[in-house]
Amino acid sequence: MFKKLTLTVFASAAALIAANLPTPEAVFNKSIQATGGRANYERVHTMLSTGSVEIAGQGMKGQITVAAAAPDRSVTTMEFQGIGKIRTGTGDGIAWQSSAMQGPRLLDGEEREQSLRGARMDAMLHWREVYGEVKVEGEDVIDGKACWRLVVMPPKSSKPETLWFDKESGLLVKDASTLVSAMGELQIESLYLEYKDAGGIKIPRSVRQAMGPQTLITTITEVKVNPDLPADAFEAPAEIKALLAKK
Amino acid sequence: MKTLRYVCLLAALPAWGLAAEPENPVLASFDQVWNTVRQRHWDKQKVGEAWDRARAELRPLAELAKSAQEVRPILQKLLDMLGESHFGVIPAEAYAQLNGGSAEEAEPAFDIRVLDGQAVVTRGAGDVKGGWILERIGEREIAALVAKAKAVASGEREAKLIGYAVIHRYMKGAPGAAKVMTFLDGENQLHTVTVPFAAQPHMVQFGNFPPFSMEVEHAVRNGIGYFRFNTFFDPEFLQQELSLTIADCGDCKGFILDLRGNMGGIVGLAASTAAWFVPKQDKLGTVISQTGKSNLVVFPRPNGFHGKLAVLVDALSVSSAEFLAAGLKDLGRARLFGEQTQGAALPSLIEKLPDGDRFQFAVADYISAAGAAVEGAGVMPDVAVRPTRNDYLDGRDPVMDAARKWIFSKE
Repeated sequence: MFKKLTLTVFASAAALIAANLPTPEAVFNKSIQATGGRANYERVHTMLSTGSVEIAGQGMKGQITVAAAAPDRSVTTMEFQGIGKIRTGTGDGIAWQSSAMQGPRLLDGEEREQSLRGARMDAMLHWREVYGEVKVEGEDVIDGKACWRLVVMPPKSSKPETLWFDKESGLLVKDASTLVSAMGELQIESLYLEYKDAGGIKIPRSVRQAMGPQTLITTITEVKVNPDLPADAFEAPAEIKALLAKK
Repeated sequence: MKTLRYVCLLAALPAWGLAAEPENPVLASFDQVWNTVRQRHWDKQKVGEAWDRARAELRPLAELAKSAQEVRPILQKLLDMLGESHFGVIPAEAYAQLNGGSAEEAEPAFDIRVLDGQAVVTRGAGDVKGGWILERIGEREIAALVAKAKAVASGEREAKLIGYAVIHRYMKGAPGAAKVMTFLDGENQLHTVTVPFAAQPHMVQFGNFPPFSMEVEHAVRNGIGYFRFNTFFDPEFLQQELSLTIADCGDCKGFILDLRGNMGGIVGLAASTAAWFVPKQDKLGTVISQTGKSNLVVFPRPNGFHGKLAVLVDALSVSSAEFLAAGLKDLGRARLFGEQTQGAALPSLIEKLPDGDRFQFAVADYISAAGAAVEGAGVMPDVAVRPTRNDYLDGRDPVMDAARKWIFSKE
């Protein structure tokens, strides 16, 4: 009798909590609205961002440039003193990396899917397609802000990702994911800070990304929306073309 | 969330130290070292109760230290309790050149190794000949330095490394300057030579590491490619030089990768160097840190060299050089010649301390592709060759000779 009563109380409490959680639609719609609205997102076709990068506490600093075009074409160039250039690119179903540290390589499997997904300029508008299964699981306090916690299972992914949206502002505050690659599984946690307007949409200007024992801090100083990018802006470098030719 | 808390704790560390003892950066440095090891060491048992006891014993001594110089031996005693490589304090003076101070960065063109308790010239240059024994630098007796290194080292390999490092400190000089050095030749005759210091052609700077002089030597001779480098830094320069050598080696019978005296550097460069010699994607080994396991993966280069590969190693092949040697050996891709490597093979980071010194600390263990720990054990050569002073006096390099012989053999 007592057990049954207890179960009933627990079940009611769970239903109450579930009833207080917003739907995924509500969370994403609020976030889209908070960052500029659907119409402004749809007007963005290309973007060029520049800024600086730093590996926290290690005295390693550099520059970053990100050229992007809808839907998922991108080339990111980071240049650190003492390491040189690290280039990554996506588009046309491929994802690649090229650096003196690792040499040229074509990403495959989940690592490729994750790169292509991360490059989607319209990810917020097409969140169901990009994130697959989405559940609002509860609330957490992140960076001092009360946030909704969403767990997503993107298509072709074996690992769930977690997203935290500020309950009040609607902005994405943090995400946590597992990068699955030939190197193994790497936990990545990113904090998105200092949202500012660029061409009608709000973009975080500071990202703190914890990866294994190191933290990468990216600070974006300039964002150009719909710039005319050169025709070869997304062309893979010769060493990547050589790998593609061998496939 | 777990990682975030971990990051926040790290970010809070210096602030905590400074807030607790704002007037004492020396004590704050002790606290930062102790805390960093406590929080970031991959083996929690090792930094459990014993680590607490070490703090209780040594922190009172650190409270009495008045300068970075005074706290260094206390910190070293603390770190020595771990019994692992890649834990140490680098004096701020090592960074003097970066800060516009005086820097004795140039080195002579000759090189030495500690052999049988003596500093033997292994690569002659100018008036200094191979096989000579370095007796004095100015008035400083080298035999005393070698003896001191032997006294503090845990074994012969470490004595060679410490001896080399200590002697090298005195061998450095300002570019354009010279030092008087005394050598003993093969006939037991003393030679006093004024050794000039030319500016290092390739100095590299990487994060919080002190500036390094990078040397690369490469050639294609008699059907064999040869590549020697002393450190795994400046990836673009290193990979470009290696690619040029391999491009010239289309008809080579074999290739010699000389890792003797290579003091390591960026861990990932071990894999990208192997990428020129490994035909299919594979892993050199596994890095095990507090946050999990990560494979050191080799992504093959499109135009690599896949013929016979000999890797030369000695007790001064350290860290990334050991990752590369162990990995190529385990993958069955190379034959190793020379002496057992140092066994100082832990991936590490360097952070700045409140007193201005830098703290190098290991953040992971390294297991080779065959599943063996390299730390402490080192990498054993397939063909053991131990050069003698007489070899250098006669202008021979028996390790290189053994590698050449194998390359031209039908083995």
